Amino acid sequence: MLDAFLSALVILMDPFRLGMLFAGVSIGIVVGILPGLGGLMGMALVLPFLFGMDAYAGIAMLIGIAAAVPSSDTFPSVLMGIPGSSGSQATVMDGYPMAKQGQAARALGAAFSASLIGGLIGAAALSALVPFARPIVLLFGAPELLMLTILGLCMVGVLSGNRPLLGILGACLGLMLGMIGGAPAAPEYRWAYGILYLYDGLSLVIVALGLFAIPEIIDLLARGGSIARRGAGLGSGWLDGVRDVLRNKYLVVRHSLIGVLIGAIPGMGSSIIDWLNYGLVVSRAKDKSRFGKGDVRGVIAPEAANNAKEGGVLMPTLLFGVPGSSAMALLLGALLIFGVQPGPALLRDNLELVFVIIWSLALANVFGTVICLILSKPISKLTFVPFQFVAPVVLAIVILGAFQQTRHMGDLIALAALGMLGWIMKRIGMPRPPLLVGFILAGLAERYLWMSYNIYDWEWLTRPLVLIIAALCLVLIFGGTLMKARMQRSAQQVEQGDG
Amino acid sequence: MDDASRLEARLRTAFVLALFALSLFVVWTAQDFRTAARLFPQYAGAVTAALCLLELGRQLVRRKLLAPAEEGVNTADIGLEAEERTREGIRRSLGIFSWVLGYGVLIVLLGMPLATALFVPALLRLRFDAPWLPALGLVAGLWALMHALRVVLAVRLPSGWLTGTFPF
Repeated sequence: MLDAFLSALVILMDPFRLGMLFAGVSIGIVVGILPGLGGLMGMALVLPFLFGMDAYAGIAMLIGIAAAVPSSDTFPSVLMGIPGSSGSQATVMDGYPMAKQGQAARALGAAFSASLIGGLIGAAALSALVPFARPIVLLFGAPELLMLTILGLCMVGVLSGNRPLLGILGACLGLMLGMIGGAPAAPEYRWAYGILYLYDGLSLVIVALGLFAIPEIIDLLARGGSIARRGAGLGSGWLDGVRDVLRNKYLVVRHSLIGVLIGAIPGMGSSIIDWLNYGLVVSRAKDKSRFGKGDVRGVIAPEAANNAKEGGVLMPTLLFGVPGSSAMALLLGALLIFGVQPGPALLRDNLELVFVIIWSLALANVFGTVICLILSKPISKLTFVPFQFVAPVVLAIVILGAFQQTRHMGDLIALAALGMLGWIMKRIGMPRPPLLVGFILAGLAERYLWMSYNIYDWEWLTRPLVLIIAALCLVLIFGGTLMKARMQRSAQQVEQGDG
Repeated sequence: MDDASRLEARLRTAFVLALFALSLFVVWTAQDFRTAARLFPQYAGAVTAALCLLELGRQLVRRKLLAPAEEGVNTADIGLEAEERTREGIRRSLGIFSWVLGYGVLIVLLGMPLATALFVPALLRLRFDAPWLPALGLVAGLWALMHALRVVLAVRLPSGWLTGTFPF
């Protein structure tokens, strides 16, 4: 175990791989800053270019993006009151008031320092779990893995805020899209209608780009002007923010651990973690009077948890092959591109890769924080560039990325069709991430269902762990919705404030 | 319920109805497949159909109660601004969508480099009234990017159906 841990570090120290990690962090910072272009899109953008690349370098790049976005999405949250991604919504509550009071630098300094510590705690928690992972995963057979995929689908439904049913319906639509093409358990092509392009099914990259990138580009262009419509200066006082974090070190550790725990539950992801932690820090604070008006603890808690959760979401992703978030669904896709089977086999056959991922996560957090601090001023100006000058570049990259899938014009048609689907879903308030996770899990769920049915007939439904996970699905669907509603209510109360 | 919320609710109902029809289609057509290929689609399709009915019922009850559309912080996806949810917002967004589709059609016909050279200045000049210089600068930058991607990462650019007929 220790050998693999150390040799993974040596592997990652290769200049090309380190460069790719750095490139990933840079991309993550840029897409995190631009609202609408989150980590999911950043990862989808680079996914087509991973073919043929060294697996360690490619994975390091993706982890770099995933780790940097939770840090950099703080910029628009603090400077403009616009969440850079769903993971930084709660940061707006106190970060933006701080910026309005001329304490933007302090808020950013606190956010980045808390993010760094949170990210490192997440990586440490993940590496601490690996030695115990093997016996745990051995408990899981095909029926239990099937239930875990269903759990992932249920949890993604919960992420749909107060519309869990719509979220689950989105995941079901993803499942159906994932069924197009060759069946995983039988020599049969389904719903391809003789169209050669559909025989291999739809590409994950095209589904992700169509659902997320095209609608955002269109809406940002339709809105007109720059992404940021208002702003505040950065001010000075970075070190004050760092000192705030040091003063609240137990708060950082506590919320980082909560971030890891919640992140480890598939589907809980970034959307709930920041609100949950914000609610907790408010409820546990003795003096609540400053929350919502610029209390630095309201920035530190969600930011620490937001970065720590990356270690958490990697747990189900790597150990069970169940994506912990929609971005992790893309990471799973990337692992498959490199011929690596996520799940129990990964720990048995590719332990070094697991540790490369952990090292990448830790290093990406350090790189990300340093870059965020250094490049704060110039990067924040990107949000003031009129989007019509950014859009053609992003659109061209999206189209090129989609075209690399099969290099067939069908790629462009599929991109347009899925872009339309994403645009419609966004209009009607139907969450899109569940669709992507459903699409990813379709193949896994079908394979595990067929294996369970073949090996145990319907008796697999009576296995104890299956029943426990099924109960967990039900509890989390209802419990998660209630918990989120409570946290949002608490946050809204703070927003409306004591006057 | 305001006009935008009503429109959104109607579109959502239409979407769920379409999904319901799709799930029934999946269940029905999966009958022709082998057992191993039909088991999952039939279960997934049936569950989807049941959930669609549940959602349609929920929407119906809400409308009968004249309850306002459930609002709240959208933590699952990037939300729309209030103005974008109106008919005018949708119309403007569809206008931009048609520009993007036009770019796609140009790529299919003329190939990526030529389509970009036509699309970018046209979008910036006609839609956003931007000056020529940044428009042409963007085209040059994009051409350089495409060239770099082709050389460094062996990225293949879409070549148009008419490209072969050009004399150059």
